[in-house]
Amino acid sequence: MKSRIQLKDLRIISYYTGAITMGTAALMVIPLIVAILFAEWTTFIDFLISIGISLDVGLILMIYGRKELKKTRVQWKHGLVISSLSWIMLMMLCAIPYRLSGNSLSMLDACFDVMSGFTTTGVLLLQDLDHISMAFNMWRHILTFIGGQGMVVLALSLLVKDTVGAYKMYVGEGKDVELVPNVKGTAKIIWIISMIYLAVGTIALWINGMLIGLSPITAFFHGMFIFMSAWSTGGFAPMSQNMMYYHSFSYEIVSVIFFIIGSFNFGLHYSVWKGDKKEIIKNIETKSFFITATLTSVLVILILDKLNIYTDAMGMFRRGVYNLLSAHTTTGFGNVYARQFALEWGDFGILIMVIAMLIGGSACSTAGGFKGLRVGVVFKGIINEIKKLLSSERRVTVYKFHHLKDTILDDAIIKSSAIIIICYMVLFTVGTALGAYYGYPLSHSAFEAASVTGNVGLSIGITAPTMPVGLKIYYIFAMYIGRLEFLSVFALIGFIFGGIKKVCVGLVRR
Amino acid sequence: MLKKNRIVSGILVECGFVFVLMSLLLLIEVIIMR
Repeated sequence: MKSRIQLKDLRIISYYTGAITMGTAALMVIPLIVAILFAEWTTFIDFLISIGISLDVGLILMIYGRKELKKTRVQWKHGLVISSLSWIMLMMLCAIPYRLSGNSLSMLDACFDVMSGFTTTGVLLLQDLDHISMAFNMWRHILTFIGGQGMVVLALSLLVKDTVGAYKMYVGEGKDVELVPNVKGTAKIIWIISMIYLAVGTIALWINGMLIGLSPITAFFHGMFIFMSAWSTGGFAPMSQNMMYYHSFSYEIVSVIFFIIGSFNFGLHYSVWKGDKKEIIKNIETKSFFITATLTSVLVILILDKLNIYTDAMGMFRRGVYNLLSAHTTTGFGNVYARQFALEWGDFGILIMVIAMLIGGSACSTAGGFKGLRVGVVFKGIINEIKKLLSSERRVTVYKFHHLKDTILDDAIIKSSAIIIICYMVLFTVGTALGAYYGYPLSHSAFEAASVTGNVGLSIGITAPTMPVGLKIYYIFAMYIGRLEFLSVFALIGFIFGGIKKVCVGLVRR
Repeated sequence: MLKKNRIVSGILVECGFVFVLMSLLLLIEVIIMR
């Protein structure tokens, strides 16, 4: 029996995983500088130790793999495994400052928070958030910002020279739109779009922050942190009360604008920025988002109105619609307490939130969930099937959908979209069942499972340091596999089992 | 490649889309709540 895995595969994977790890060590320099600026010396030491460990690990991996670099080209299996393995490796390394700070009660809690940041989920187990250092807050938001754009995308644009192999890693991270023929160029455009919006968003929130009474420095950093979270559809905030801390309608409006725009496809941004403005109304994803956001908002307004929770229109808009849109774009900013969902919104309100969280934002964006593209494709596929049934048997009609360009809606596209949706549903159902097994009410378990599966970050109160370890591990897995959209994680599992099989075969031969 | 004036108009178009959506939702909400 011949095994699929060879030593050269391990070496090539090791080299690129090491390169991405080195990139992360370089990234830790940013909070290190912030720690110096704010004279936060304990945090400075924490990051210095973390940089040292990351450099060591990265260097060892690169030295081990470097021999194979010129001999072997990156294949699909390598690209997918590098992407999925890098995320696990980085989760553990980026969790070191969390654990050293003492704000995470265990390494598992630290890994949970890092995975929540990377996957732009936003649920957290961190303790005493209101008193953590500025440098550490910067690190949390950098993780969510980088995670949204894609850590591998960042590494590709800076570190990786092999552009053919780079595309395979890029796809492995759940992004498959090529904005320009060169994948490194695509990665750079994604970063240019994000950095321009970072400047615009930070200035908007900075001014807004000063107008609501924050000091200029606090307003600047809070503005930048909130923008990073909003754009990445992350949901982290520098204070434990999340958006409630600011108690400002204008702050909420600015954040809602950026998290909705952040949930758009990078291909859509690029098309609109190149001058094709009609793309925003022609694209199947924006159409799908417009319809589902309107429908779910109407349903939430109907139930909250029936329950008489928020009596004035602005109160309803700020709580009902804001939280619904935050869930739909998989952001996770909240301006009601977690228990309010459980105690005030009723089972129907929770159900609508679960549906919105599972649908999610756009493909090739910072958002999670099924993605509007797949919902649109499957819905259009169903409509077309009905049309086919009703039309003449001799008539052959070609159906199309518009997503950056006109594409023929064939069975293969519908099938691949449906498979991913089914995978998400399985992940969500298992998460719900596990929550129910640990004794949480079914509706609460479903809410939390949808939140982690769709990388949303809203919580109904289950996510806490005291939650069962099994649930923490499953939520980490759900965030991870939901973000990478299954393919590369399946490749990693196949790779590991291939490796195990190889070891077994070797032992039998001895 | 990207040009400065197109980037600015692109950002305005995207913000405009969100503005239209929010206005519609607020209108629907006011109608429902009467």
